[in-house]
Amino acid sequence: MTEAVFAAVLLLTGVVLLSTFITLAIISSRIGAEPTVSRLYFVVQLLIASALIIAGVVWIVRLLWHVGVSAERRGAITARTGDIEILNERILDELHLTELRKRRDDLPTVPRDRLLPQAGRVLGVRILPSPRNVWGLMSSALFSVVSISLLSILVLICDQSFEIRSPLVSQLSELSEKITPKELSHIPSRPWLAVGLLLVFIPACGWSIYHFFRQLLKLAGIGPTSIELSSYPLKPGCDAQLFLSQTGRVRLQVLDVDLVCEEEVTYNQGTDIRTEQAVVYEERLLRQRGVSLRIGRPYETQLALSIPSTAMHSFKSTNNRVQWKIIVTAKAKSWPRLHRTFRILVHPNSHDLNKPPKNQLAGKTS
Amino acid sequence: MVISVTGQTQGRPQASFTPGQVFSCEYDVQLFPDQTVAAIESSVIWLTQGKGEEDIGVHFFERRNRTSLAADTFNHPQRLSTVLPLSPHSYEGRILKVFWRVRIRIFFTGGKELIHDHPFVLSLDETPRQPPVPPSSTEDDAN
Repeated sequence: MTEAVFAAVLLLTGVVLLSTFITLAIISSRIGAEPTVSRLYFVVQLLIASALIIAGVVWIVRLLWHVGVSAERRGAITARTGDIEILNERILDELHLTELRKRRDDLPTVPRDRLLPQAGRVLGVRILPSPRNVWGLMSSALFSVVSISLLSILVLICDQSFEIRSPLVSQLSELSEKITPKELSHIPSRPWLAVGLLLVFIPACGWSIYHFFRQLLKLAGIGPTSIELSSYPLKPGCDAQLFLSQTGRVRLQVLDVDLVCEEEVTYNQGTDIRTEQAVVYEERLLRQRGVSLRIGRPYETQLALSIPSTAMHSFKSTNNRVQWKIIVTAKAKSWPRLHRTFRILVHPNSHDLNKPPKNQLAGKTS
Repeated sequence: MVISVTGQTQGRPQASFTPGQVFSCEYDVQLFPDQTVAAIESSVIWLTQGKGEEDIGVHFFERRNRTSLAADTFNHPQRLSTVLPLSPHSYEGRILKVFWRVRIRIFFTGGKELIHDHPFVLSLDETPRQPPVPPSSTEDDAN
């Protein structure tokens, strides 16, 4: 956490310095004043500010990479670039793949996974982790940088304008009796506009910095969640084992794992297209309090999971769907709430499939 | 005009079918003397109902035009037969329902048409799937 904050401070300091140096140089050249620093010193200032920005960005990227990629994958990438392909190839043998594809074709309206399931580390199948909101971080960082830059520029403009305007106003006030109202209207009013903009930008800038830090801490502090199942796809009435691995570098007050079935419908209301969800089944699989997450020491546990026998299988049509999810939520003091969703497939039972099907991916024992 | 449909298995009337089972049905069409059929369509479909827009999936479809209809076609029951798919199962959820239907649509000369739907259940236990009852107590409450 300290690292993340320090990296963010480094980045923002660089942005502020860079904006300040550039703005001062521009203002000096506009008013025709002698530059306060030599050209060489100005270049050095720019280099230092740029270096701070680059160092901050690299540090944040490195932090995210370390927290966001699993240890196995990092190891594979470091060892050989071909390891990722090797990992993917050993997921399922060709027979399983063929049967799984054929089986999917025989199940109309049952959605498919975009990607084939991966082999688990502890149990049979690893459910692909939910994508993390990296774009959210990047957009908030961009917004934060832009708002800080604008704020810095506005502050400098106000400062410079008041310095120039104050003696002018005092001279004018002495001569005010000799000046016509028409001439008075030529007195520049821009500083007041800048002050107004400044008042608007200060809260916007404060909010953007807060939001950026929040997003950064959310990604850097609470790492990826990994879910593995002993068999997949699941079926109504079937029991399975679930393995949960939560990485990160924070102490969680509470960690919950829920099995949820949700109906989702889309409908037109006037010119709007609305989507509505209804949770029709929710079962708490785990509630763990006081979970300490450390780098290299993720929280890992194994749970029993059961799909009720009367439940509906996963269903998807153009405007309607029934989807099953495993939702992991966690709460840590002074941290944004973690909420990660893993969509799982529940295939329908049929008479010839009441016993565990041959083509169902069998779990391996750890 | 009267249409009656009877879903059956091995000649016995049945309202519920299991996925993958052979589905047979007979339908009778009784026409008034002044009615002339231009075409008849028979289909086995699933459709959704509820809060969302209605979706429809056609599992079986047959259309017979006037040229393929004999003068005495409707003097005896018509039959359709198909192997039912493994999904979707009939479902009665909270804001979404999935129904199976045999749909007979008759087009008369002059442009009028008549639709008759005969519902049946596609399920393993003769009743539609329903949202399960959640466990009564959770660890959450205990903590």
